[in-house]
Amino acid sequence: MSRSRALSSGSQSLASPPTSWWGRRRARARELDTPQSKGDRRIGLILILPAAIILASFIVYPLIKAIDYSFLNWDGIGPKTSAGLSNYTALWSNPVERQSLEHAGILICFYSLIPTALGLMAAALIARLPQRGMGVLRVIYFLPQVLVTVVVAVVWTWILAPSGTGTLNSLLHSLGLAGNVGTPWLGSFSDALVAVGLVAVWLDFGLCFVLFLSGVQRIPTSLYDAARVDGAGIIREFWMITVPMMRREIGVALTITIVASLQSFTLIYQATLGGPGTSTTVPGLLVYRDAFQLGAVGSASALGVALALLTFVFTFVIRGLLERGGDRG
Amino acid sequence: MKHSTQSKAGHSVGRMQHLISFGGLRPRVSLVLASVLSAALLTAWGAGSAVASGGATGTAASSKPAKLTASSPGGTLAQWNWETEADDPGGHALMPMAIKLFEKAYPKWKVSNREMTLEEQTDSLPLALDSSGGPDVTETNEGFGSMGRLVADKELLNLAPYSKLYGWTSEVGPLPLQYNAFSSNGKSFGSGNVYGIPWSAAPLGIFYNKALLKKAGAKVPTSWSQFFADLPLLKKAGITPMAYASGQPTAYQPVHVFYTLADAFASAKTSINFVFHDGKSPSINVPGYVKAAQTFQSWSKAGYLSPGYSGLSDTQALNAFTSGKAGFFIEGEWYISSVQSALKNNAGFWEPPSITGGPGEGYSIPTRSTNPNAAAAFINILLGPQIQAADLQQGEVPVVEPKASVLAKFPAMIQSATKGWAASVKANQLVPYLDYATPNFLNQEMAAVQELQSGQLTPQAMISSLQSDYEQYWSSK
Repeated sequence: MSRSRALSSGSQSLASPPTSWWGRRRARARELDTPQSKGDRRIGLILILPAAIILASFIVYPLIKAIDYSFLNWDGIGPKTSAGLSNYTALWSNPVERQSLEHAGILICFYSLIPTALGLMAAALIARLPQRGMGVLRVIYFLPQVLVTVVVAVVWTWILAPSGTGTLNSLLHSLGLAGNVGTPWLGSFSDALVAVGLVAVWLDFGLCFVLFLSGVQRIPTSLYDAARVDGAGIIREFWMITVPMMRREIGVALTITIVASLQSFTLIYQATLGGPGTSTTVPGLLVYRDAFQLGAVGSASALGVALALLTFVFTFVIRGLLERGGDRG
Repeated sequence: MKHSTQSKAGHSVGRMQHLISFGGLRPRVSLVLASVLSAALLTAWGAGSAVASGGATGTAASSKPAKLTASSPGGTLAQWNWETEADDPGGHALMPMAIKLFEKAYPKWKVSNREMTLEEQTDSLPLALDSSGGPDVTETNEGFGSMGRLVADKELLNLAPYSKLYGWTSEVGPLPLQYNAFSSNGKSFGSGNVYGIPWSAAPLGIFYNKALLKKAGAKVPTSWSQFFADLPLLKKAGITPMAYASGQPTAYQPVHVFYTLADAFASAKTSINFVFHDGKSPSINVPGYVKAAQTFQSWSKAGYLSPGYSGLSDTQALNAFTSGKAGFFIEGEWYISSVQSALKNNAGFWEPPSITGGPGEGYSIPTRSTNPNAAAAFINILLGPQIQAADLQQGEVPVVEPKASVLAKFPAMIQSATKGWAASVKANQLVPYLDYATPNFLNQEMAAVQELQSGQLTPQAMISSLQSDYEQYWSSK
C-alpha cells in the first residue's frame, strides 16, 4: 500500500512538478532524504521537543479536552452526562448565544477592518512626508496597545459618561449639540455596540499604523518615482504600489486584530458587561459566565471550540488571500 | 469608621455576593486580570498552598456531633473566608476578634485565617473541598451556583445536628436558614438540610433625604402610599426624586429597585414560592408583578430617575444621593454607613413591611473537615452576643436580633434596618433575592429591566419573558 503510493507520487514528480501543497512538500522531503540530512533531522526533532511538549500540554491537550467537554452536560466537578450535539445547536437556537456571535461579527469591523484601513491610509500619507518627528508619532499611536485594557476601558467609560467635565457629552454640550445631560453612549441600546467598537478602533489603530509604517518605508522609492513618471496620482499609487507591496503586513495586521476581536472580553466586561440588555454580549463573556459562574462547562466549551474554529478559518483565509504567491524579496 | 468612598463602594459590593454567585460580575481589577487561564491556575494554586498552610491537626472527622469543651483535645482549625479589607471592611475587622474569642474559650485550639477574594474562593472552593488540605470551616456563597453545586457534589455537612445542639434555628430564624437549605442532592433550594449558618443580615430598603423632602413639601415615608405621593412633589420642586443607575461598572440597582417595587405590589408568598420553586407551578406572572414593572417603567417616563441613568454606575448613584442631589435612594443596608457619614441626621432609612433581603455569607463545614465539632464551635462564636454587637458597631445588621437596650445606642438608620429585618423575619415577610431562582436569573432580569426601561418591552412582556426563562430552566432540570 505504502509502496504503491510512494511509486505513484514518485512517478508524478518525474513527469511534472506536483501541484498540490502536500505533493510539493513530499517532493521536497524526498530531495532532502540523504543520510546526512536524516541525522540533521533527528537533532532537529530533539531540539524542538521541549517546545513541542509545552505546546502539546498547554495548547493541544486543553483543546482536545475542550472538544471532549463540549459534548457533555457537566458542572466541572460532579457527574457528567452526554449532551450530544445540544451544546452546538444552542449556538444557533439560543438567542443570546446567537446574538453574541453576531456581535462578534460586527466587532470584527471595528477591531480589524476599520483600523487596518485607517492605518494603511495614514501610513501611506505619512510615507510621503519628511521623516522628522516620526518616532514621537509612532509612540503616541502605539500607546493604546501598551496600556492595560482595563485602564483603557475605565478611561473610556468616563469619556462616554452621560454628563460631567471632560466627557464627550460635555464637549458636545459646549458646541450646542447636546443638552446638559447627553446620550449615555454605553447605556443606550442603539449606541452601545458602536461606542465599544469605536474604543476598539482607537485601541487597534496604533498597532496597524506602526506595522504599516515600517512596511511602507521598505518599499523602494524608485517604484513610486516610476509610477509618477507614468502619470499615476496619489490614489493610483496607493492601490497599485502601496497595497500590493504591503500584503504581508496587511495579513499580519488582519490576523492579529481579528483574533483579538473574536477573543474580546476585557473591554466589554469592564465597559458594558454585555448590556444594556444583551446588546453588547460577546462570546468571550458567555464562555466566562458559563464556565465559572453557571457551572455549564459543556456549553462554555462548545462556544470556545466554535471560536477556535472561526479563528482558524479566518487565519487560513487571510493567509490564502494575502500571503500566498505574494512573496517578495 | 474612616473609609474612603472607594472602599465603601467595595464594601457594599462585598455584601452583594448573592448576586455575584449568579453572574453579577464585579468590575474588580483582580477579576479582570484573572483571565480564564490564570483562574484555572489559581485553582490549582489555591488547593496546593492550603496544604502548605496546614490543614487541621485535630481529632478524626468521624467524631459524633458534640459541643466542643475547653478540655477537648486541641489542634489547628483551618478557617477560610472572603472578608477581605477591600470587599468587606466590616467583616474583616471582626475576624481577628472572633478568632481571639474562640481561642480564649478553647485554649487548646488555634485558628488559621485565610482570606481571599470572592472570585478566588468561587473558583477554588469546589476543587479545594474535593481534596485533602481544604478548610475545616469556610464561608460559602448561597444559591445554586455555589452552595447548590457543593451540596450536589457531597462536599458539605448537613448542619442540622449542630443547629439543634446550639439552638441556631431559634436564634437566626427559620427563613434566613432557608437560604442555606438544599435537598441532599442539591437540586431543590430552600428546603431539606441546612448547609450554612449566616452571621449578618442584608435587607434592602429606602433611603431618604429629610431636608429635600421638607423643601418639596413632602413627608417622610411611613407607608407605600406616602412614598408614591412624595415622588411627584419632589419632581415639581426641581429635585431628582430618585438616585438611580443602571450602567456599568456594577449597577445592581435595576434588580434591587425592581424587587422593592414587587414587594410593594405582590405578596411575599408569591416571591418566596418562586425562588424556592415551592407549591404548584410557582409563578411571578401575577398582577402584582406586572404592576411593579408598570410602575418602574412609569418612573423612567416621568423623569423620576437620575438623568442619564443608563450610563451611570452604582457608585455614581450613591454619590448623587450622598451629595444631596436626590430625594430617595433604593438600595441595601450596606450603604448606611456611607450615607450616615455624608448626610448625618438629614438621612433616614425606611423598611417597608415586606422587604427583599438575605442573610450575608454563611459558614459551612466541609465533609472533609478534620474536626467538625471545633468548626461548629467557631460558628457559634460568630452568633454570640459579642460578635453580633460588634456587627452593629461596624454598621451592619446582625442576624440575631439584639436586645432593645443594646440597639438603642446606635444611629437611627441602623436601628430601623435592624428592626425591619427582625420584623419581616417574624412576620414571614422577608423575600429572598429573586435572582436565587435559577443560576442565570440575574443576567436575565438585568437585561429585562433595561429593556423595560428603554421601552423595548411592555411590563406584561417583561414578566412573561422572565417567567418563561424560569420555566425553561425548571423543565430542563
